[in-house]
Amino acid sequence: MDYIDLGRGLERLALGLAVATVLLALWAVLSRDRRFVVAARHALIGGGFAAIGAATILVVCFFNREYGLEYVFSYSEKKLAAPYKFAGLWAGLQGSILFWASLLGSIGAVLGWSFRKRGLDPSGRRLEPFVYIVFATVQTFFLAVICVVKDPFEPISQRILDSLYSRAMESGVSLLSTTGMPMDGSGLNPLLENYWMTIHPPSVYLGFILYTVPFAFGMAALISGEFTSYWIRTTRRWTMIAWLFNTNGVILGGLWAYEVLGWGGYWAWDPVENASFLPWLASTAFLHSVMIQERRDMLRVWNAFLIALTFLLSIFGTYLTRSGIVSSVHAFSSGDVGEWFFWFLMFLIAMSMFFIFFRMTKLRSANSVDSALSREGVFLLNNMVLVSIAAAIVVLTLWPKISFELFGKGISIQVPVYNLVCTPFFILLLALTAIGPGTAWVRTSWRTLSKNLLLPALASIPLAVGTQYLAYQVIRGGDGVDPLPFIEHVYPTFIVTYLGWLIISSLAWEIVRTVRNVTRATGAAPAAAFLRLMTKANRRYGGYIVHAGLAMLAIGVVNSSMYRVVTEVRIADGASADVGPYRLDVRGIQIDKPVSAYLSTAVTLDVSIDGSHLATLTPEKRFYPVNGFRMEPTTTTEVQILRRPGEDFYVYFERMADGGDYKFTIFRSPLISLVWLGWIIMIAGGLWAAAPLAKRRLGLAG
Amino acid sequence: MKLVAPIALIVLGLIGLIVMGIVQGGIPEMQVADLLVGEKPEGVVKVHGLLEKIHSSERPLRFTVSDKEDPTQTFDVYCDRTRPDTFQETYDVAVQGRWNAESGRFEADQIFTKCPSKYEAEDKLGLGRAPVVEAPAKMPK
Repeated sequence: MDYIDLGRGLERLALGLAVATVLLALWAVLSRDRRFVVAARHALIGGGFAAIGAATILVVCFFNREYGLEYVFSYSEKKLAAPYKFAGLWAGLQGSILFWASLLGSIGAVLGWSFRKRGLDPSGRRLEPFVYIVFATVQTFFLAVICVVKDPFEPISQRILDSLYSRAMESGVSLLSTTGMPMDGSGLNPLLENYWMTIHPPSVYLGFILYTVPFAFGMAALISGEFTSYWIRTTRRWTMIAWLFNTNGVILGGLWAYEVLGWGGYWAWDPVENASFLPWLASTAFLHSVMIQERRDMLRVWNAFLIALTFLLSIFGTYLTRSGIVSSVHAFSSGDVGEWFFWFLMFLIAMSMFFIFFRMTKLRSANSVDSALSREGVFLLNNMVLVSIAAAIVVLTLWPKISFELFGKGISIQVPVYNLVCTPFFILLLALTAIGPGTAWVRTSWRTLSKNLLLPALASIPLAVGTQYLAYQVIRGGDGVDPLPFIEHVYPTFIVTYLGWLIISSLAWEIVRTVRNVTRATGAAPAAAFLRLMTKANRRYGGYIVHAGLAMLAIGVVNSSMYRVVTEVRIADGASADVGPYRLDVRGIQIDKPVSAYLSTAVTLDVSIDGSHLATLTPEKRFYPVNGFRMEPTTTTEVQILRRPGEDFYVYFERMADGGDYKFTIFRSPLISLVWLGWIIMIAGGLWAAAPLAKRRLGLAG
Repeated sequence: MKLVAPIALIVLGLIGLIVMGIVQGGIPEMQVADLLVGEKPEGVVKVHGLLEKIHSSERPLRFTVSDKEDPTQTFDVYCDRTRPDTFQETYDVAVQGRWNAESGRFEADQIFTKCPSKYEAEDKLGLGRAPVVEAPAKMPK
């Protein structure tokens, strides 16, 4: 038995142990015998290691050039750099599902290990077998897909070998080794040969996969009827961790698109972008509404629904990517797997809905919202807005399919429709985010709210006007662009910018007031009082930091999109062109022999303003020629970005034009750096909110 | 329940905006054969087919698109855009625009080309057609 057989064997062992986990935990519930819970735990941990082992062997196959495996042949080649060989694990359908299963296995092992803890909450003990049943059912599904439908360890098909053989006969170039296997792979898609390929997919996957844990706890509570505070506490902590990865994954995807795709933007409402955003919306709603349950023991049904919805949306996203139901930049090609995901999704929806209805009476709370103008009232409205955005995105993403089924005619939905539908809800969401911290639980008077918000509302006016002025300068300096009157930009640009600043200033004002109160009460120095607040109530203030990051991101998104200026320029070698205040000087072209699998053509451009040199950029075209293993030539473009505090100067090298000129498209996006700054602040805030959780309470012991 | 009115407003607003968005901005999709049969559509449509022949790869682009099922059904497209990287003959393509009755050609303002992001070995070797996977081609104005 060689190590490839071992990989196959580990896949099957992982599947067997996942099934065993379900059966043992089920028997533990029926027999009330703790020994079976312990056995199920061991099976869960063992299954996790088996799945990790299988994925590790697949990575080894990439490094060992095992082109006899169709998956390795399809997604690598000898010249491929080592990081991308590693990333080959998730470059294709089969590998991505194995990667998913191995991450799920790792999390399952951590979950099982955490239940070993002595002194675990008794409620946790009672939930444990139910958690295993749900978690291992999900694990069983993914491993079954690998073992039954799409195995990454599948040998290369005879059809491909025959094709390579006949091609070798025609060209006289040897393509097959003496063992009859391909001598090289057909290569990774050049668009994926980017460092983001090694970072973005694992982050998205981790976010999606981590949502399995809160789902397992939520369903376990529903099935068992064990509704103590333990399950909701545990669910919130795991959701927070998953949310961090999900946030990171969504924004890294945008950053990747921005740096690679060459259209100067980062979000195009692509179905799979939407798919990664949907669980984020649902989990964000849950992280707010769970506070209402913790504080006032309300919304238990709603929270159970949101936990289920978050996980269902992550599986829905996976279904979208793997079913081919919608066209997308990211879609994998496979019908069989799509069907499996469809029926699994249907099963999960039916199961979730059944148990929520089954436990409806027990979940109902005696408390209700006393006033719309209260912390819980604002949170509930925030929830409605987030779920509404998610519902709108689901409908619009599926509308080409829905309209075809209903009316026999597909209707395509483009970016403006998404913007039309979602923008008012985003604005409402920002307004609620600004108001939220200024409200109190149970009831807030208009007078108190006005007192809390008046100063920030006034301070935000000059901040928003100043921001707009900065962004507007880019349009005014644009070539051939008629500046629109300011009034044209009130909706949505000014409103979003103003609300963004209102969020930041109201949070700052809230902190100032609280620090002042602490200082007065304790006599502590303001800095000491501030630090004490941040550390003692880190969950609250971490959340505030996330809000500030979101506000920053919103200001960046709206200004960089609405004030973006696109200019096409054509410059002869040695000549110059002006783009707004910038001067571009072409200093020559370098055409390199293939250093990798491609031929590079790069133009050297000096960028300056008023004679002051800013940067030398080298936008590039890469040409991947046909070879024995790749039938279609491919061209990619490497953009160059000059990042400045106020705007990005983004250069896309179009091509060599007739007459030897160079053609470029220049995108100038004002305040785009705020998008990335907002992302960093959000992640920092999320980490701060979760920090003691990671230190003290990650063990799920409560 | 103090929040019934605002929640109802949110839900109604959502439904209203979705309907308005689809009615105002939804674009009918069709295959090449559907476009060529009967009267030509008056508004903007999105047509899926195969990129049969590129006549001009400089801006403005001129090319012929054929039906995926019946290659004899073709139509000419004019597009005042620059050529996207993934714009290659025999690739799946979708063009969005309107039919110009006077010139007898389709005037596209957007091209969606196949993004070869996840196609499999058989597709790369020309043994099977890559899936209909679309990426918005870079479209500077």
